[in-house]
Amino acid sequence: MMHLNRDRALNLIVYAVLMVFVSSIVIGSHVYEGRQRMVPLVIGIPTMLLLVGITVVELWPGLAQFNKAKGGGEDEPVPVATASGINAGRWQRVVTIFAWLIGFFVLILIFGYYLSVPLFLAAFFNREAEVALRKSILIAIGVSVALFLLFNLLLDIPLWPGILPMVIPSILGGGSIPPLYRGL
Amino acid sequence: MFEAFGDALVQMFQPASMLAIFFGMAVGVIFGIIPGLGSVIAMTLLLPFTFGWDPILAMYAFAGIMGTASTGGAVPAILLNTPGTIANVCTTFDGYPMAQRGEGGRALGLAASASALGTLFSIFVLAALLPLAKLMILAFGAPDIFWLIIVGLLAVTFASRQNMAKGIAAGGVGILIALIGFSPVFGKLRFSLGSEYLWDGIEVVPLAVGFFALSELIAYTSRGGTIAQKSDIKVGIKQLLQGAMEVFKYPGILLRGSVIGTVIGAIPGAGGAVSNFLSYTSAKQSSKTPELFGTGFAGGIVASESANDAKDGGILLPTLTFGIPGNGEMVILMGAFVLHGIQPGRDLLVNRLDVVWAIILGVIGAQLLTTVVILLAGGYLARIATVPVRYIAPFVAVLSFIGVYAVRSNIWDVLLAVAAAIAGFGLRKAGFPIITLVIGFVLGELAEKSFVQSLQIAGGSYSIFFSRPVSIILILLIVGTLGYNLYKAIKANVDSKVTGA
Repeated sequence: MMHLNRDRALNLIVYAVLMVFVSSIVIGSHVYEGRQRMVPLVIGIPTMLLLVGITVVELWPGLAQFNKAKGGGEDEPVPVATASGINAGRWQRVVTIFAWLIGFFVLILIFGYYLSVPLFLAAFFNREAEVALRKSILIAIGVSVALFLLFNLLLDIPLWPGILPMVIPSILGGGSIPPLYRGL
Repeated sequence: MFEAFGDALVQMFQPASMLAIFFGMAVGVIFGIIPGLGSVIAMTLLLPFTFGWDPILAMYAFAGIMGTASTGGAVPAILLNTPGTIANVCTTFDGYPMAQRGEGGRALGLAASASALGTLFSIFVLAALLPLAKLMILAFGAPDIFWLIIVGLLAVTFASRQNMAKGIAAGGVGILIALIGFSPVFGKLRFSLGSEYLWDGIEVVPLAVGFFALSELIAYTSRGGTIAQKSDIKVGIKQLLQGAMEVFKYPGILLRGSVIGTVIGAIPGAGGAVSNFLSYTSAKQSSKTPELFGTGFAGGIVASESANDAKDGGILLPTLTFGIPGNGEMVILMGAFVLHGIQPGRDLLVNRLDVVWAIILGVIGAQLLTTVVILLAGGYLARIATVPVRYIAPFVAVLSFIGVYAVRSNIWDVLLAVAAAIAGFGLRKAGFPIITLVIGFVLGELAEKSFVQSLQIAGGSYSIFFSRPVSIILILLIVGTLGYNLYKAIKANVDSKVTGA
């Protein structure tokens, strides 16, 4: 077995997610008849076997070497070519950027592009790029006006107005969320 | 074929076409100059916005980016010792020492000129091979196409030099993702879990934007800082012109670099970085004065820049003829084909030659424009590379989110892009080559179609996959490639055992 550091834990999570996805396709293909399940099985089963192999090697790195050249106990950390080597500080940054992206999406979903883009830009420039608040707001307004002119007036591409105007009727028109599931 | 060329040439000089090429060129140069961005992100961000454009104009814009990003990448490589793209690494070896000697302009002139000549060489080779390729693809039946897809995926996997098993698994996952939703092969829904959103399957634009643009954004923003530091760069026009002409003093290096770039480019997965290194080392090994390489030698820049731009013609060959994309740029180009209802391969070469010529002429036009732009403003352009990444990131995010939404006006596509970004980041960190996954995804439908068609032709017999001459050649290629890589792995293991003992 091996030390389960942060990088390896992430690797195992990724393998697990991929295995769940592939096995869902392989198992799910059985409800389809004949040739409809052919390619899911022909591609899915070898992919699943590879993923299992990759996971086993990640858990027991010694198996990847036919004959281990040097000594060292089982618990000795073995460098893995795929390990990212990201330190804790950078992981925090990664999580922060994830949060910005997810937050930006939620903002757009609720308030639409025209309100969310300047809000996001101003906040990001101020918090992450450490630009002065007034300058951040100016940049955000400038970019948003340019986007509005480009998409609404020049390209005639209507951008998502957000669900809030739909919840509060008669304001800005409102956006109708496409159903993820029928009936919802 | 050449009648279509004449029409395309006339079309290229229309103001809208010139504007599209210029736009693509400008985007390509800027994204090429900024280290960490590059042509794939530029094309990914542009992809959704071309929806609704005339397909020919879209192709001009994409060709503009393709033809220029690695040329743009030479600017920070020479002036700031920071390659704009990975294909410009060898340019730093001689470009930066020249710049330190106060000959940055000469180095830029050499790079711009060598890039233009390398591109022209490879594009002419591509144009000359197209009639032959047209005949060749007629010899390819459904089972051959299926094997060709497997060859393409394996080639990209091996060329990515990452874990072989992870590369193949990523390709498999990509193909499986492509099977979700309505299947045009069977006319039925599969794996949609009852979700209306998944009826149309997973769309290429949100997936590509998430995997390429947004996951890269996460990577470089989390690193933070400014990649290139200096900004006090002065480049004289006299030196630039001197360098541009000096390239002709190295005809052997130029020709070798162009040939290497074209040939390596045609191998799926190999691309600009490999051709760049191969050309540089080959020029050095065959030189009578190898000690000059790495000291600010003009020939070194010619070797590097001619090869990394000559890959453009080579890499277009498998994409246009067989629909097998060899790198990230070609994956996005395939996405553009899908978005504009263009079918690469036989249909493209027979019915849509206007598209083929638009790409070819677009690459040439953009490359020539770039050469002029770099000669005129190389020193000023290098300053773009000094912009901190934290200023670029929010713009990439905004463009990605708007672009993804603009294609289908479906807000869930944006969520899919965010999910793909997170998944892409995780996959990269776990060592899975994203490019193989996306190529698998882009080719998944074609793989299934050719597989099922083959069985239909053979009345359900699998022998059809092993009986056609082209298929047998491709199978031998697969077995040979797998065997060779396995042999290399075992040998490396045995060697390490011997060294350790």
